[in-house]
Amino acid sequence: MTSIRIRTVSAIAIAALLALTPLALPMFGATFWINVIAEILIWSLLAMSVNLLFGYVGLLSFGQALYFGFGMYGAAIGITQFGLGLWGAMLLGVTAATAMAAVAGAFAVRLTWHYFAIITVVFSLIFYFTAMSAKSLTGGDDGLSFTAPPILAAAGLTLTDKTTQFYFIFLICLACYLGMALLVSSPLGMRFAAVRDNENRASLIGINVYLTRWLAFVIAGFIAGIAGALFALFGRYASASYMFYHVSGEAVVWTIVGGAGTLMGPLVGTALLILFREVMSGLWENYLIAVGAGVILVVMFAPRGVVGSLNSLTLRRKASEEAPVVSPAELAKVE
Amino acid sequence: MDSALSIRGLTKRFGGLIAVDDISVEFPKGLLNAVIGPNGAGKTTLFNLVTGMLPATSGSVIFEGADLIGARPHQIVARGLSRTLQIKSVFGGMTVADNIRIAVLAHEKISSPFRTAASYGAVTARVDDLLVQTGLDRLATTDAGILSYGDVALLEIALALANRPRLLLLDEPICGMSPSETERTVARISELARTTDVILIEHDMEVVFAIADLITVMAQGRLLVQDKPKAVAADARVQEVYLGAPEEVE
Repeated sequence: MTSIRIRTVSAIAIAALLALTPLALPMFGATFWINVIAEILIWSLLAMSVNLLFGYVGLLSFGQALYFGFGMYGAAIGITQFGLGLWGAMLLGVTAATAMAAVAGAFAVRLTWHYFAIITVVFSLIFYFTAMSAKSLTGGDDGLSFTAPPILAAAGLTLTDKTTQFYFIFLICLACYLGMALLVSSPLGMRFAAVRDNENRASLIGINVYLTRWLAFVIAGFIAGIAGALFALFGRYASASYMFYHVSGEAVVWTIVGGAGTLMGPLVGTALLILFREVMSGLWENYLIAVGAGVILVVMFAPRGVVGSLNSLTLRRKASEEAPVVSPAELAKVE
Repeated sequence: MDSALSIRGLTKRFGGLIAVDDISVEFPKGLLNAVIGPNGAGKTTLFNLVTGMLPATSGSVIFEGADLIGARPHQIVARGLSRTLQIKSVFGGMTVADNIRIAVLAHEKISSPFRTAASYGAVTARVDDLLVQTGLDRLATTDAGILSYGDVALLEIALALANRPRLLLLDEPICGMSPSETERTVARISELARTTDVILIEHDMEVVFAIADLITVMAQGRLLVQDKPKAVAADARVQEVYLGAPEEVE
């Protein structure tokens, strides 16, 4: 089995398992975990947004929570102020996040490395404090609570049903993962990889490096916006605290643990760390020490993350299986 | 004679250092041009100014009737002028074929996010052509990060050719190659020069004098002489910059 086929099969298996979650978990009396898994799916989109920038274009952003927050508030304000339906509110949230990313990106992608990281933090801090002080619109620290409109009123589909809500989130996330898989293997995705691998060389084959990075930044904002809008609908709540850079930093950690530059890395990293939190936070209040130690170990011994390390394992196995036997005569011919 | 590239009064200062000092030179079309000169003569800086990788202090570079000074590297490439780098660098995380594929896609201005890159049949055909043309077909699925230095140099040439350039600047293309690789690459370069204008920077004098039609010699940022190989070899000024001035014998 080739390594690409192994990856495809595992991705399909993960998707199938997730699709079965709301059917299987109640059998074990574990309905509580349906919402935990839904939450993991949503947060993995924020990690996907970080991963697109860091893993595929080489830009480390500590400010993706800003676009998450815009998606969140766009959806919440759409419902509370404008009385929009669920889809209208989502659209408003995602549009707001994408537009914000288009503006911030125009400044941020002029810079790289630590300067880029700093400017992304600065942008998110500016809007964090703005949202905190604009109490009349955002609710500030208290946030905005609302009742979620139905997904499809005619069919009686609402988020109040746990299973329906899970499938609503699952299908949107699935679409995002499929879109991401297509993006990274598309010509635009190859441009991203070219800019990440060798910026100078990329410009010498005619790639506009600045425009390419900006496009990636806007798409990353779009994905973070979807995550934020989904999270607002999931929690029926929006709060400025989710725009803080601490949230962005968590998404960076999930991405690195799972494997930056891999499709499933963000999902695996987010799942591992959120499940760990759910299990451990009740048992040990200082569980974050263990998280920190775990992250340091991953960065030191498996810098490509969990999925990245698994991928190179399958690649190595394939290489040893398929290594051609070269006869001395052929070797002589090569020389 | 028509010029493939004409440089007029080009100067580059780095603080107090003048790397390229008021150079005016024509590189005629249809010839294999070589630029030589001792280390620090300003050859690579000249290429960097022409391709927009460094901003010029003053002067102009005319390619096909338009001044390139002020244009950005990717815009210059889009006009049909490609180059390779002295310090070889490719996209290390991709296979050799994907390296060339991204260059072909960039040249064809294909940047859709909605189709896989492998589904463009015409692009794949062009990638295969370039692989064969540069002799890299045997390494198509190899990671570019683990190529030998000589193969990286060939891949650089393939990337530059993906652009279907009308002028190709090669910066020490055979540096670091084994003798057999050198022989093959030199044959490819002279073959290329029949269809594309080439300007070559090279330190290997044997190669330069064997394949160049016209040699431009630079020394300390200035143009020393431009002439046919035989005349350059006999030129006293050229011998002086390479070997030093003959000392008086007492």
